[in-house]
Amino acid sequence: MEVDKGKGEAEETRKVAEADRDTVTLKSSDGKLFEVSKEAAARLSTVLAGMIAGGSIDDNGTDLKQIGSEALENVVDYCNKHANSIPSAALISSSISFNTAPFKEPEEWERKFVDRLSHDALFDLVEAANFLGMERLLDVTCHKISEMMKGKSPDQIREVFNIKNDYTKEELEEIRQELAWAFYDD
Amino acid sequence: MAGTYTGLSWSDLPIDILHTILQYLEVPQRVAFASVCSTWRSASAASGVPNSSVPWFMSWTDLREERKKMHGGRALTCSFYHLLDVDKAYAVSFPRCFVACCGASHGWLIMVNELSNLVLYNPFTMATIDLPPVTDFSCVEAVYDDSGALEHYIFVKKRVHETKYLGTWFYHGVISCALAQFLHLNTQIVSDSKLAELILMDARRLHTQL
Repeated sequence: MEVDKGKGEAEETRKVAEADRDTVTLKSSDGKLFEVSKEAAARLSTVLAGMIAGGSIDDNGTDLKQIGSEALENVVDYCNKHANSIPSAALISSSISFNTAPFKEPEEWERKFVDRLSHDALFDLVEAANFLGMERLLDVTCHKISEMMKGKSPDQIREVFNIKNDYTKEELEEIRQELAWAFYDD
Repeated sequence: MAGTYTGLSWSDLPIDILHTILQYLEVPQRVAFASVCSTWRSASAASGVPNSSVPWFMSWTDLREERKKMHGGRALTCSFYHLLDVDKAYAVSFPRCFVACCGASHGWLIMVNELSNLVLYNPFTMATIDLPPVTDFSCVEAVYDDSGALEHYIFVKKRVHETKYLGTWFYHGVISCALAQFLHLNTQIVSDSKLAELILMDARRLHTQL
């Protein structure tokens, strides 16, 4: 009897602790666990917000099978940095304007955040941001990708992104004629 | 190799990601983007008429001079300058049938063809939208010679206009006033694709008024 009561109390305490937790645990495709601020996750990712609201967050690590550990680490890092970078008073208004406001230039820390990534890491991060419905992170990563193309010819862009030219000779000639003015031949 | 987990390459990026990237590219760069590979080209085509956030300079004089010099069916080229890189001239080709350019809006040029009809032309996608012919207006009458070729137009039964001037006059004198008024009242609802409808609508309204 005594023992049972103790168990019940422990259960109760655990439940309270769960509800009070201000982080969620996310599990990458390769089984690594990451803790992220619940508030930041819900604010920055529509998918995570839905999961949190719908109670489908697993305390032992919510499976995100589509995201590798390196990308998930970057996502979590971004969420945590974002949580720290905005004064708490501005939180509510910024979360409202996020969906409607046009993209603003990346902030200094966001620029640095994506600048340090390798091409592969950037690729994984843009896919993860898209998958998790993280509009702001998607904007920041896509902005970075667009910067990498600026002032470059199609050939140079292919080289940067290691893309195979899949046009036939005829198609290429057709495009060249159609868009001749845009080729940086001179 | 790009995606360490998915093993996908940059050319396999989902179309919504490609669209987000495209919105950060200025027009010349969007064209380079489209020339990279076929997936990127379809993404670029699907994202519609490119919207340049920086205005272009267009040197129409070149085109007129070139037109005088040239005979035959070849396309004309005209120099475009982008404000972010004014040292670089882009040679943009135009169909030969255009004789004048009388305005621009939302990425479309309002061109006049040899018959003085107005045509909307997007110099980057080369899309054209024919507007109703000037003879649709009851006040404009076409006069043909013996061989059936168009000789000139008569406007309100008295003034004779050479075909190539009527178009520009028509735009400046009539359409632009009506359009400016309309746009002023409805700035919020006007989008690229609506422009053609708008001019069409105004033209029809004027038609009934005249």
